[in-house]
Amino acid sequence: MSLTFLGFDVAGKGYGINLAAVREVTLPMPPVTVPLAPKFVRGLVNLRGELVVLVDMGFWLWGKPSEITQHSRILLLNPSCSDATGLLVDGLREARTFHSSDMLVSDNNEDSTPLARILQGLCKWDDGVITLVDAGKFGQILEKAIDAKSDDSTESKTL
Amino acid sequence: MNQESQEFWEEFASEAREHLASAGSDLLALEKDPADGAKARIDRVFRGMHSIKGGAAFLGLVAVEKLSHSLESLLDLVRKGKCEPRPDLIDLSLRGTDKLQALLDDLAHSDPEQIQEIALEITNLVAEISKPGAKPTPTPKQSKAKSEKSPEKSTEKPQEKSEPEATSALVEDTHAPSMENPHDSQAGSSVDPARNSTVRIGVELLDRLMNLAGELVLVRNQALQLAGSNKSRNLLGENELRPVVSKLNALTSEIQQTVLQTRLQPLGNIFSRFPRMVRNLARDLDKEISLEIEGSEVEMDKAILDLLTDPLTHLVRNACDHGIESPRERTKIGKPSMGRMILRAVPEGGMIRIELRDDGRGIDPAKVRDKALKTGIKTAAELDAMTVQEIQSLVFAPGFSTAATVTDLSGRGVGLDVVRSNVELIGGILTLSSQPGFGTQLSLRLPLTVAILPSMLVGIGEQQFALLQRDIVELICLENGAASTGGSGACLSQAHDREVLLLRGAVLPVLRLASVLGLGGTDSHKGRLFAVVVRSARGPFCLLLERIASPAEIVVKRLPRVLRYLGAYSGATITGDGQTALILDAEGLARMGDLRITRDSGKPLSSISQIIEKDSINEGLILRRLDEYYLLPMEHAQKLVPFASGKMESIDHKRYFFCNEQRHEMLELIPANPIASQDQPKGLAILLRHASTPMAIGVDECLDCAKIKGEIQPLGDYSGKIRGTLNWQGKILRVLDILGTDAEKGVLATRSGK
Repeated sequence: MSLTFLGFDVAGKGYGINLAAVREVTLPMPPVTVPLAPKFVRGLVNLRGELVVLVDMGFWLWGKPSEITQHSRILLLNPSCSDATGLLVDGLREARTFHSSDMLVSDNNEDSTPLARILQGLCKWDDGVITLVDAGKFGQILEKAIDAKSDDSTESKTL
Repeated sequence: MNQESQEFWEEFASEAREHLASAGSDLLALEKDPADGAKARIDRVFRGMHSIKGGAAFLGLVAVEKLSHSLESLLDLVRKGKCEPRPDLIDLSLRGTDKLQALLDDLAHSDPEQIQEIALEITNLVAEISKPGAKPTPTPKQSKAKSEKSPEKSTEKPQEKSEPEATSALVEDTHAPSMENPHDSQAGSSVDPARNSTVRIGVELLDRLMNLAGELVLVRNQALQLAGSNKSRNLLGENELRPVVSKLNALTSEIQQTVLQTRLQPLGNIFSRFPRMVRNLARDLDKEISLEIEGSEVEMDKAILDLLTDPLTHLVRNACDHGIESPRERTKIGKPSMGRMILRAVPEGGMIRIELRDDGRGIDPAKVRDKALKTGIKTAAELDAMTVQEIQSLVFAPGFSTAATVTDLSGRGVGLDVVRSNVELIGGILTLSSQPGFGTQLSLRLPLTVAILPSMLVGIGEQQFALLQRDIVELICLENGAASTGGSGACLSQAHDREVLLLRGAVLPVLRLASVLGLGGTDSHKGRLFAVVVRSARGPFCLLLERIASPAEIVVKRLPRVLRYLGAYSGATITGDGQTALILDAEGLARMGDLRITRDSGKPLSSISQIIEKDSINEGLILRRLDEYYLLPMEHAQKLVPFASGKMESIDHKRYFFCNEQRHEMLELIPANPIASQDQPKGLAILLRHASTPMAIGVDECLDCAKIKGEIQPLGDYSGKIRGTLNWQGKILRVLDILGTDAEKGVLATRSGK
């Protein structure tokens, strides 16, 4: 079985996401901060009237906010993966098709690190290796993370 | 079935439902008063059945066609004066329309077998009426009227030969629409001019139109903002730009209003089903219930109406089922045997308020409290800090609804929490107030539409938020913690360990938006601040802000699903300058601010609404004992029980009232003339709350449950049981002071005896 992945960069490292999970790639636009949201939520962006949650992949994966440059892009996910969610990445590579035998599939998704929870596998890309992320898990993981955050904030606001 | 047929069927079902709704109202009205416009009503129902029959025949819906034809024949007997609209005929007609409704709900599986039973009943009735020599069976009322007028007119000639034919047609003739009957063709050709002037439009099309109007509003807002900027003035010249923008503004507003109107439908569309429902429920439950409906003409967005139908139906059913007592029970406690329900809609400040009131048994806060404790919804400490109303409102808490019959709103399949969440989903607020023994009032405040809402843009630093105007009660500008202008006398203060706003004698808890949202901010009162009094189901509170931008009509955009968990926002909008602003959720903020309990100290803070009630509004039961009148604060009353439903006994020189397998020590209001000394007194025992051992006071009657404004005038010589007096309808009310600790020790009795 073959799958086409779109390559992208975050914090100097290469990643790949199933092309079918990406609805649109767009230039970054200034987000509006959402108070109380977890830090990896950079804010809300208005994409032609549709409000999209912008997930900062730099913060999600490495705990460090991404710097928005001319190479930065937003990967808008298909609603089947996550409702109105865009991933802010540092740069884009091309799309490549891999045979399943070329991929080293991960079976360690229960690990607690952010990367491990969305890790789909590894794949060779030019001279290096890229990490394949499972877009299908984003929605669920985001909801859980935000739910937990909102519980925390409610607790801390108790007077 | 192909798509075209499906569309035909849907259109037919939609029209048929309208006919059935109208028929239901007419038949019910006839049942109530057969003399009230009987001919016009019967004609209308007949025409409705005729139209349904015609449509069903065209679409090959045999079961619908047969049944409507049967009903038509039955009603035709009344039209022709061969029978009066007697109760059994009306009842059968109503059941027939019910069956038709059921068939319409599942047209694909409608089958003539489904109507066999009711068709047979109709056939039998028609045969009975059509029997040669059969006389019209007038209702008692008509009979009386007729006998007064001209008794000879009540004698009818034997039926003509056409009648048996009509009877057989009920069973056999199902495909001959109606041409043979001149009345039929007359009815079918009757043209309603109003009907021809309307066009049916799909809701999807209206939704798209509404969305476009919303986008137009945003563009208009941006144009207005641009026109106001210096840059555009320089570019085009103010005189050229202003008229264009002004015209755009006016046109946009008009388009928006017009589009909104296309979606508005009268509340009567859903109200009309309730008389029928209440009638049937009352009959099934062996109760007598009257339903009064006011404000059927008030209009709301179709989308809201659709979402409102189920919650409202649920509430009406619950009120009938659990709120209104049986006639026997009502008579026993001195109420009229007929229970009364009022469903009322009134426009109120850009919103619609729908009230459902009943004069039933109300909600017993003690039982709700027990249930909440048992189910773990609240802890004892939390419950102690709640007002009676807040405790009663726990019937809306998730997990509460499956209770047996502890309240007048419980025991239905779908939980009341779902009712409340549905109401909140459409931007409404549901509140409840109930007086045990006197009834319950549910109030729903709903927006006219969900798409475009008036709001106030507010800010913290650079961040902009929108606060919906429906949530705003009042706006006050504070300079160094006190109102800068106006006579409100508002000022920030400290009560216990939390910040409060003192406003015209009321004490409101304060939430600083910046700190609730984690945006920093201080507790300083210095400089200019804006206090927005916000309404919520937990009661009003004060939201403290740094900046108020401007009022604006906003187009509500839904938040991405993942952000809805945050609870602080109900949506977002795009402002005139193209920026995104989050819409603050007043309920969510109140929840996050946890306005009641100080967890640090572990002590409950007196609930704010209690403070308000104590200081300005005195709510309680108005009681009479001999010629003295008393006000018992609501929080002390647990239940009203007629002495007749219990027994009085003396034990060790004390009098006890036994009811519900429980013993209550009697406390006397007038010790010189003790009510408890009688073996079977005639009045009421009021079971008290806050007593570790059950206690009760005896009164002759309970006159009212009222909210009385005004300060309590304290007594110079404190008697120990009377806190002070109030004026009520020219009478002096003695305000009872029954604190929990006092009541527990029976102090009321001993003090009053001294």
